[in-house]
Amino acid sequence: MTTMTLSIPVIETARLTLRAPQLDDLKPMAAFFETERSHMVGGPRDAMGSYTSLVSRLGHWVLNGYGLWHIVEKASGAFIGWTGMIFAPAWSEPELGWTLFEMAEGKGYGFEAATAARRHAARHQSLNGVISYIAPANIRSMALAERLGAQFESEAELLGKPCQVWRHPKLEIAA
Amino acid sequence: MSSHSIPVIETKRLILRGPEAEDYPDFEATFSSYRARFMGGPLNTYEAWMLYAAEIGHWQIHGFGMWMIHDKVTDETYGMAGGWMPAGWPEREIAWIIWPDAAGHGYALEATNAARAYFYETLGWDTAVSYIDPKNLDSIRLAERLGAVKDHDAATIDGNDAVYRHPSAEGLKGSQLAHGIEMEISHYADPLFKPKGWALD
Repeated sequence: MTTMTLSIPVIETARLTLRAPQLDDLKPMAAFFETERSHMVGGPRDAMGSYTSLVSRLGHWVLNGYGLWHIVEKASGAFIGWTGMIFAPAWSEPELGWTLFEMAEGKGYGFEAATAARRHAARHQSLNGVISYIAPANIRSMALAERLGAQFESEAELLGKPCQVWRHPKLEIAA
Repeated sequence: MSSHSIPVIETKRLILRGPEAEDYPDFEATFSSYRARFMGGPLNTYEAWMLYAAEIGHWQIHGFGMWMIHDKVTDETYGMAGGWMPAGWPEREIAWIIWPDAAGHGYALEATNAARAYFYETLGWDTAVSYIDPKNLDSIRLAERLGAVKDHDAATIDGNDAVYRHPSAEGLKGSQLAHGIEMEISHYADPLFKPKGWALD
């Protein structure tokens, strides 16, 4: 047996659960990647592209030891987006990413989820003072980055598209 | 927390293991090349990495997937073989790809035959197909050597692929075809073997 360790911890916050991506998430994910909204976070993708993206998130955890969680709203049980650390060829360093579906906006969920993911990365994944790549038109994401205490660092390019690099503060982590 | 085990399969010359991080450069080399034109390629570096991660995730989600084919002695990789069923696939597929430098030694036949045996005997599949681009003559030839037959009635992925149906688990067991495949593999495995009376020249 080749044992592939897939250790995706479950993180609970006040209103959210961060858990491993699962196949049931494909439908809402595919619906999201068909929207205009997805253009700032790697979309659009067709059905096959959404599937590849979903299963690759599990492989990402196996290959890197960290990755994206899918965010579930505790009250409704609904899958509402994702957050976590992303690193692949073309990335200059591991990135904290987040995406919320439209229906989940305006409730502070992005802040709540990204804060938990960032803290986990600093404590358990040796990733502290990380970056976020943000598309220049993604004003809402910039507002969230600011709220998270991140600062604009530089203009860059990712996969042929212009983007901004935002740098998060180094967190105090108790030993 | 969970961990998922991918079985290791040994054949005469090969060992099939789950895709591992150190095998990625070999995968990328082929998938960024023209060789991958029938597998959705050539891919850029990012796409190739995502697909590789997806190959691993496929095992986690579906409990089967593609193995990396290694030489039993040197451990070098020759390609991949196994099962594949992304969203949108009408049914479970048996798939293979051999790195260009490793073609022509019967590795795909040996690995795919072993993968199919695993799916039939251990996972209990009773049928499987291979979706093949009609221009991919090498793959069609391999499908035929494995006893697969073009299935004109089966659903295709998008109308641009031919469906080859593998012999059923029941139909394959102890069949002349199964023996023929074994014989072809052992011929590759020992090219110096010549039956008695074989003309040496």
